[in-house]
Amino acid sequence: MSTERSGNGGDLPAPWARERLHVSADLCTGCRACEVACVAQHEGVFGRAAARIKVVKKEPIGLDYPTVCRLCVHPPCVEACPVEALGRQETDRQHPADKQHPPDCDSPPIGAVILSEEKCIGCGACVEACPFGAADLHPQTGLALICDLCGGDPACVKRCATGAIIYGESGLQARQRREERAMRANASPLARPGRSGAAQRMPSIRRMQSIRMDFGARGLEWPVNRDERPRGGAG
Amino acid sequence: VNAYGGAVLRVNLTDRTIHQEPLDPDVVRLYLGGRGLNVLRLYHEVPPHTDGLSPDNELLFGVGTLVGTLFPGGARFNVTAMSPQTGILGDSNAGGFFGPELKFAGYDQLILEGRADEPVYLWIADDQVELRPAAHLWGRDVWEATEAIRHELGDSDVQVATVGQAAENGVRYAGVFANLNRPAARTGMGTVMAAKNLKAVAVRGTGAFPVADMDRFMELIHQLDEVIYSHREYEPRMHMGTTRLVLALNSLGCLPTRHFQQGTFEGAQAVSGETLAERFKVKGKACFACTIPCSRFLVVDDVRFPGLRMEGPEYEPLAGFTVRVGNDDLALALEAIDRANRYGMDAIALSECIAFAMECCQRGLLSRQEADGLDLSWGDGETILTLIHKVAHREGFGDLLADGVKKAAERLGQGPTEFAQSVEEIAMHGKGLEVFQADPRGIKAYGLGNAVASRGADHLRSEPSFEFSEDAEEAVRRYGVPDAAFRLKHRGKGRVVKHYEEMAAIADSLGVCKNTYNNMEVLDWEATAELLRAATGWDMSGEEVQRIGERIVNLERLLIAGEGITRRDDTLPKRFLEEPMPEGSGPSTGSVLELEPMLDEYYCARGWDVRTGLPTKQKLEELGLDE
Repeated sequence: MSTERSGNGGDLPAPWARERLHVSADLCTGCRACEVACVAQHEGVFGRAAARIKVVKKEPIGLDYPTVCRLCVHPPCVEACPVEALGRQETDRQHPADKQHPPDCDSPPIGAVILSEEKCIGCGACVEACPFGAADLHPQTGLALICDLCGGDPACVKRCATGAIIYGESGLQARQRREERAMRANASPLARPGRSGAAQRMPSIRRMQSIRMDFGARGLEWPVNRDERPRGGAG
Repeated sequence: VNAYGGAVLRVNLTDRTIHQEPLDPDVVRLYLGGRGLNVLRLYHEVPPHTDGLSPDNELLFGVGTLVGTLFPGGARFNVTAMSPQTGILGDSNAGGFFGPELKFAGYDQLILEGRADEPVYLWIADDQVELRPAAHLWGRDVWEATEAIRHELGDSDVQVATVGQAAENGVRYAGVFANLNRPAARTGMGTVMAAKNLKAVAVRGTGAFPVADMDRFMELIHQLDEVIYSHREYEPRMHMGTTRLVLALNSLGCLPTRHFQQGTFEGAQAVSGETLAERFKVKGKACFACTIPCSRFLVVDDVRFPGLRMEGPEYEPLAGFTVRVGNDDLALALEAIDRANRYGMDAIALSECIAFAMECCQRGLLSRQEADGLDLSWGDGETILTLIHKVAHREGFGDLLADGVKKAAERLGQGPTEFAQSVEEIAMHGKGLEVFQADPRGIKAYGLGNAVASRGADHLRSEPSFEFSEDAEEAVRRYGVPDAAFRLKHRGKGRVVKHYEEMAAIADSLGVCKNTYNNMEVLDWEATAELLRAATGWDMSGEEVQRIGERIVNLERLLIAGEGITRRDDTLPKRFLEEPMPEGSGPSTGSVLELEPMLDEYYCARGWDVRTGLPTKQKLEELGLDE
């Protein structure tokens, strides 16, 4: 957690320090569990068409890429909405560390795009406006489908088995990407670029979970510790 | 019914009628879905001795109970019909994304009857179902057809199950392929589909379904995730999937080297899952909602095969086109697998047919002239690739191999009795289905499982991985004898196979993966019942789950008994039963498969007649199968 966050209506974190979803096409296996988890969380049923996160799959080239809401500073979807059904969460929710006031999961984290289902007319202007295709319409109700970050504890992130979707602050994410890139450019056999790179960078789930809990401090550990390669056992 | 799509879709291709039928809640409680529901319908709606290629045969797609939920790998669909390859039960199963999409469209089962008068494909978009012309897709391979349909329908998320040219040309072991590389390949289900003039089934489902208790269900799934993440097999499976078995089985001495002539392979390291991941893997891939990305996307950097990239392969095709045919060229094997996939064939059957021809040549039973002048030396890459093409198009010598190894041996073996016998003895099949990529002499429960399997010799009907455990205490607790936990011992294996057959039947009917359910054993009967209670709301016990598995296995036995199958058909080639594993087979050297005592024990455990191998009246009454 970034230290400049003051919680409870104090100074707002800068956009770069806001928590948002970050994705990796290298780590995504294309399993679509994030979509199903999203529908289960929001609709209480199993399906995938009503998901607020969508995985793009191109099977012939092996591409899997989760499309998520980017929490734009100037969100085109909000600007495009003709009936002001879309807005942004401008105030911070309670800080998770504030034990006296546990976080309210119904209250979206700062920067999240909020949909008023009462105002939404299902016109699809937000779908046209979003440059990522992250906004969609609900297959049954026809109203806008917009990621609300599950009140700061995204169901998609919780169910992702490989850490392909991470919820964290952009500043830290950017630093990690820089360092990862720098190491891949390095000739070290442990961080080789290209094809077997993905296999080597694949973290164990245990390690990923610890990263998620303590993202900033340990974000650098997993790309380098892939020296032991497992051997096939009986059975 | 909670956790189900709720409808069955019946399509008659002859008169082009399409009906929705409601799912019978009483029936799914007794048979779950997927394989169980399919075999029940096949038993009741298709008369005995129906020819696999006849319009009277039904092709069934069944989706399991847990498919489409967050159950890790709840992805699988079963394709069932009378088999044109074996003449008995045809049934095969695949993962990927087709099964969940069919369920989201609202269907638990798809029934395809009759035969269209021209090539068509079926397009299911929720309630909108239509037959569309497919003349432009006929002659296209699996990849081309899949992508052409997606392009035509304007949606890359459309899930397509299609056949390739092999099925169109009547190769009797052609499969139904979903997601380009995920085949329901065994027993010729693609051949049945093409015989109906049906090129593909395309589906898009935008619906959703409830479970009885979502909170409880999700709690159980989170617990299950933890079991999987902390399982000792998690890491190796994540990196290599089943391809790790090349080196594992090499060290045990039960690889099918050069058509089961030795249990170790000198080129094992070069063609291992480890080497494959190291050289060609670019990322991990997974089936629907699975937490184990055991599949891999490969980019093969080899000037001989420009642009070769693919998902997979699993151990079976990998070992088939390397160890079994004596080839240590990994890139060539991947090219072979890719071609077999695109033409749409069963890699086990195909690699057996090629290896069979090579051994016939080795023993002087087949001349070069008879084989279109091909060099049938072990591991000859050009021959392997040429034969794949020839089989898929039924050209020349390929035509002889296109009906499966049993019929190939019958055709090739015409002549003096002694010659015919020599040829037939080296055709590695059980009930007309080709044996998998491991030597049953070194893994005896698998041997028994292959011999008794209801769809012909196949490991996935039981997958009795307990015999690798070496856990004598657990063996005594479960099966009464310590030997059950040791692969080279034969005692107790009848009970092991009975247990694992029922697990496999449950896995296939829930639509979950046997990697987790049978091999990693992430759920026992009681835990399965608990999950089913949360999903469906049924008041179901662990014992009842076991009973469902037993019921399905017994019904399948009844079905194949109607085709004349008895104990004498529950057997394997003579090599496994009489010839000891040759020198150079590591710890398996000298071992044979003691099939007869294991069969006795198996029928006893099943409550079947030991003499005939058929279910007794008492057993059928007990399972409610006596009508």
